[in-house]
Amino acid sequence: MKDLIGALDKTFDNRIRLGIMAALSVNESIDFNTLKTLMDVTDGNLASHLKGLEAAAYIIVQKTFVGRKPMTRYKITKPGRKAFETHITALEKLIRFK
Amino acid sequence: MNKNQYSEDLAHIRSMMERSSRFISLSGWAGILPGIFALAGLALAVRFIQTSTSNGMYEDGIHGEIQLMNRLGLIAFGVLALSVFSSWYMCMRKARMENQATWTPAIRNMLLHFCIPLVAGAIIAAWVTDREQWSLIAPILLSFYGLALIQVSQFTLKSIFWLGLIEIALSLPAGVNGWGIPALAIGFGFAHIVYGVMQFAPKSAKGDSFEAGL
Repeated sequence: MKDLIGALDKTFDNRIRLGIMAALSVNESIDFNTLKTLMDVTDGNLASHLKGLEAAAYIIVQKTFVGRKPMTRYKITKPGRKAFETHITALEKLIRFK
Repeated sequence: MNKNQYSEDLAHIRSMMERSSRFISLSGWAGILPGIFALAGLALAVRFIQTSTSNGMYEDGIHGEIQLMNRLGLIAFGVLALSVFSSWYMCMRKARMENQATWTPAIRNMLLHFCIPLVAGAIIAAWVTDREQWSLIAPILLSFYGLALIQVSQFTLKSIFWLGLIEIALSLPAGVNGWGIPALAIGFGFAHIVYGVMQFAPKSAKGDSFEAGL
């Protein structure tokens, strides 16, 4: 059991971060506002979790312009996808563990 | 952390994956405009049918029949083209207004799954037209369109599912002689308009996004 808990990624120790990773894993890229609506959180809260994931190099940020409006889009990285999949596998094993 | 929390985590992940891959910028106009086009097209078709036949016979014989069929085909094609174009335009406009991406894998997937039942229905409708079984066209169009809506409801607002069920239910009376055109008017005209208007009602809009998981 302890080994299994050790396999859990500390970076995903939060529902919002899990949500961000889940959404990014099934979409090419998502902009800040869409993520905010999806997660139903405040700007500051979302931004701080995005920064955490960015620091772990699990996601990358792309700043673009739509017309004159700046738009920040987020994308999952390869290591990010791998870490997320490992985390999900660990969760599944923990549920089955008796 | 206990086991419950782990399964809640997984449930959360699953729901986020689903929610983020649905297309939610469905504009009410995408229902209203095609509904209006369908009603206008049907009204035009009824006029042509009435003027070219008297006592159930074609006034100009076989030429009259061919002319009528061409006109009806042209109306159907025109209504289809206008509806597809206008609803696509309205959804894209809404997506841009909401700062959503307009061409994502989720949208491509949605369109693919919407088109498959429609193509299947079109093939059968073409054969039925070839055999001149006119009375079967209305039920075929309604039921296959209903299936397409039910299919697409997995990729966009869930309430589309109910619109699909209504279309399929209408295909039953649509087979009765003389009920085809009224059933088409209800299914493609009024049902679309009512559904579209419901999208603008604040309460239903909220209910929809809640149903879609947002």
